[in-house]
Amino acid sequence: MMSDICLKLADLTHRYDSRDSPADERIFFNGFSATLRYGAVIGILGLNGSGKSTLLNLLTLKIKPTYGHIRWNRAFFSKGGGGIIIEQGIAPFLLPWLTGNMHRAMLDRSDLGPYIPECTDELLPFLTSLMHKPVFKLSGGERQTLALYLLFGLKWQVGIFDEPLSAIDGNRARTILVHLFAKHLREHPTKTVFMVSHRIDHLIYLCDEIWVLSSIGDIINVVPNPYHRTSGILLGELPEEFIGHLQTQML
Amino acid sequence: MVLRKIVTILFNLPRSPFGRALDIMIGLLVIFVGYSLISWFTVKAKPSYAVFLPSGIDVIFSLKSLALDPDFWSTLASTFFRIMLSLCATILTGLIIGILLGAHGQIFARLRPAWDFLRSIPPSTLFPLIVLFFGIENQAKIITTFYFATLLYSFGVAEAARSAACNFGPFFRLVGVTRPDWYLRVLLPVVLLKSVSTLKLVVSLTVILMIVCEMFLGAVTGVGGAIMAEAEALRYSKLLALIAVAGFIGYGFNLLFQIIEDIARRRSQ
Repeated sequence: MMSDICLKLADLTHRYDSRDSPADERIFFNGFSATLRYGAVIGILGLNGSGKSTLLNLLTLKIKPTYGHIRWNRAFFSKGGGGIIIEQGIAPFLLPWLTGNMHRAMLDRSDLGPYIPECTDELLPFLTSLMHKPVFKLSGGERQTLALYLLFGLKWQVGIFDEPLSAIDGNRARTILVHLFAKHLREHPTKTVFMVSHRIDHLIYLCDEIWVLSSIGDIINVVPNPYHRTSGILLGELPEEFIGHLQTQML
Repeated sequence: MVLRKIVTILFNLPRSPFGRALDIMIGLLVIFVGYSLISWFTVKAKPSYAVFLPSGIDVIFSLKSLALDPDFWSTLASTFFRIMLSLCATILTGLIIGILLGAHGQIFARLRPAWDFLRSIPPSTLFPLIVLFFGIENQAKIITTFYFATLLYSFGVAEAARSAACNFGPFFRLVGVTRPDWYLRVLLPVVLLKSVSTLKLVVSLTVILMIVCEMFLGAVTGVGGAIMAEAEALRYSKLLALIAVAGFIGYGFNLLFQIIEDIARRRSQ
């Protein structure tokens, strides 16, 4: 069943050299290996400087690991290959002078089009109002919401999201998580997602598995998540002890 | 008290692009009038230097007589036409060269040192060379200004295109937007918005260089030529009036592009 495998990480190690001081040299991930099937939703959790961005850069093939290898089943991160990356920031790909509808028309013509709106009644009135305004008139949270709405209408296969809800207020972030992210992943069960967030509850709700980047030893602890979106648990009712367990894993 | 009130009102004007343009206008007028008055009094204090200096009233009357003279308007029109022609050619060529350079980072990196070297040469020093190639007629003037303005603008555009390619390129490449969308909807607007400040410099350079070029041989019409003619005829009040006109042209263009820059800055955030 090789075709089910989406990604293989083997003996992954990445070293940052420091010319000035050998003491500053850091070795990340310490030979981490993993095999992911299509449809895996992975959360990445870690303190600042624990290697989250390095891991994302490795996954998106922007940098090569010092040791080991990363093999995607297809060239997802080539032009129109089916991979999307939302890097840290409010909504990095939105063009301030275009409206949401103009972005939509452009994405509709792209390799990952045609654009199929993905929305629920909970978000529809808000999103409809955003689509008509030029982006420069939107607030940071509105931009991030619009960016996610636009992305979820595309035919991507692998999505890498670096803090996609960081600028959105608590209530709306929860609505988006439940009614956009979770709904979309339920309807497209083969999509593979990596999501970095400092919000542990978001990761627990959405992800099947959480990779906790430990600051001690710079290793990745893989924590299976029994409380994810398909378990029937509500976002506000996540068990405190599991959250505490993840927090201790980060240290 | 009244003055303080006026100043308070002026400083509390809404910060729209036009409010800002008004600020600039007032600021420049204050600087210009203040500087002119200081210069005037300094020169007047030493009569030996002020033999040829006409009074301010004479200059204003000369400006009025220029405004009533149909020949002056045709002179102004020919300068304006040359400036616009050179500017349009600069914008078109600069955009094409700049976007192509910016889209191909390696070529841009290779050309950059030569570009920097050329930029450091004062434009007027190459005028004799251009006269040699293109003669002393209109063509040479437009080509001189076009050449230097294009050099400056295309480099600004290339930098803007480079930054747009770095910021937006990775995402739109992954999504696979069509080539026309990439160039027309992403790259061109980014470049136009981000290169407005360079365009402002280009406009100033074009205006100054064109009027200077018109002062050289071969200028039948134009403000630069008229300045030289008045200087040779020792009509100093008219000469100063024409210099003021040249200043107004530059000031008008600058104000226009300042408003455009403010709007562009607001829309690109």
